[in-house]
Amino acid sequence: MQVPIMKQGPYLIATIQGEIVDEDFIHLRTKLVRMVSKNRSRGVVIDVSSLDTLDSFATRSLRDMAKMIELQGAETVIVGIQPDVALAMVRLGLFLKDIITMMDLEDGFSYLKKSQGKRISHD
Amino acid sequence: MAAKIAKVKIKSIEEPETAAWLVADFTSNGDELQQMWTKEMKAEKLLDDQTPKEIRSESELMFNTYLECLRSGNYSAVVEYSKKLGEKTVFKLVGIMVYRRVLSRHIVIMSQGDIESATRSLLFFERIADHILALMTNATIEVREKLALKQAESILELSTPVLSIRDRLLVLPIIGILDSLRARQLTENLLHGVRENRARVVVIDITGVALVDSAVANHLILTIDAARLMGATVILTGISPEIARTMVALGVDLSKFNAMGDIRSGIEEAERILGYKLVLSKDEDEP
Amino acid sequence: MTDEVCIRIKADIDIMSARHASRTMAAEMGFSNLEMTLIATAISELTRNILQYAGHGEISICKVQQGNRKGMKVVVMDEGPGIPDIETAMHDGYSTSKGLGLGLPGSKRLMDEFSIVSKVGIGTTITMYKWVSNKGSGGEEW
Repeated sequence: MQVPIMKQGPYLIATIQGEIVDEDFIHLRTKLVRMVSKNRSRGVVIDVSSLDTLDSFATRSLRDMAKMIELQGAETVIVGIQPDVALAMVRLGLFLKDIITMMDLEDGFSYLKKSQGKRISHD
Repeated sequence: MAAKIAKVKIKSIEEPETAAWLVADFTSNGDELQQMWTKEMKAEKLLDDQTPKEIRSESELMFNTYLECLRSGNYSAVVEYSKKLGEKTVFKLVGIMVYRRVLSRHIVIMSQGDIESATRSLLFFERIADHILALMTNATIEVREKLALKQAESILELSTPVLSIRDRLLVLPIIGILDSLRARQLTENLLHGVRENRARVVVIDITGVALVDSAVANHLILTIDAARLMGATVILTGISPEIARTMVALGVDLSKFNAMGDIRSGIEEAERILGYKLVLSKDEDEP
Repeated sequence: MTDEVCIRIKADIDIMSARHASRTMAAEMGFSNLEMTLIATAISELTRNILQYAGHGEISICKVQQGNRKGMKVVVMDEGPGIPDIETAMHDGYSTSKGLGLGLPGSKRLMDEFSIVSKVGIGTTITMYKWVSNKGSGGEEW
């Protein structure tokens, strides 16, 4: 299943819906990186709220994605990790320490806005 | 034990004529026997809070359970009946006992002085009645145990309250013993509370906790990490010097706790985090 | 109600089927939402291991009863290269492929019981159990 990507101002939103197979992650990564560079996006929000499992492969895919997007000059926020999924992840040993995680789209956007604001004011 | 009894066959051990005779006799005297049961139950004030309709249907169920055991030669009817033990457990147990008395007496009366026949029938019947009673008692205990477990659970739930004290701020005061079971409860309450309240910051206060072992400390760390994955920050307050010392001795990394001295400074820090997030409020900014 | 499900693991879509099957069965048995997620995550990890190291294999998920407790038994099998040093493989951080090396020790932490048998050149079999937590209202009889 293809992951839809929406453009909202300087940001992109990717909503991962239901079940996703490994190949979809690779597609998503390629597409996101291309879109970030084409639109000169400042940030990407990846919504995983409809995923009921996040194993080490999915987590690694998300992290790789974030790192590649970072190289394009944009920030990535992952939003919507469910309580039970979060608990399974930490028990498994997946902490996503170097990735920003937020509750939902709203928090994701307000984080990105604040973060951009800081970047600009400090420059 | 109950499982064993449930499988005991009646007819294979005892002569089938006695069983057949009892079934025939009980059936033809059904109304009278049920009336006697009602009378005895009333005399012992056991029917006070039941309606006549309830009494009739309960009495019939019990009577038929006895009949069915005698007729079928096994105890599946009792197993079936004990499944309905949910409410009025004691009433049902006592009702079965009273029936045993009523039916035994009936057997003696029916034998019209033939002591040998009375003894044989009675011995046969009482054995069956004993098994029925054992099964019922067992089922009653099970129902009670389940109830006690449920109550213990709700107390446990109460003992780890999740309080929403500001928009997007939760406080979890923990008092008493924080064992593994309660720590697990705490984690689930916290994470689901975070989701339901869209909490950004959670303050866990353990001022009232006397002891934290390494399993519980590690559990707390996992909870804090899981909350972070969901987008919430956890602040731990009220770590007593004793607990701090134990944790250090156990090799627990205290820096992971975002520890603050007392619950007040924890809440202030939480508000600072939230305020820093929500400075958008125009009313306050404009002079 | 099925008491046992067997799924051949040949492609990543089979991982999804295995997760689905475990959730359906776990829900029938009265597992909590969290427990279902833990089981599904462990299954996801181990079936992916099969694809990564052995190419193909098989998973069987079945209901078990032991005395008063009931639970789920998961057996993951492959005829791959096998694991030469299980003790090392059970340590966090171990991985011979590009994974994070959490598959085995991580899955063990997600389940209640975990055992592994592996022979180099013959294959690996992992057996795991998860018991329905005793909450008084342990779901339907089966």
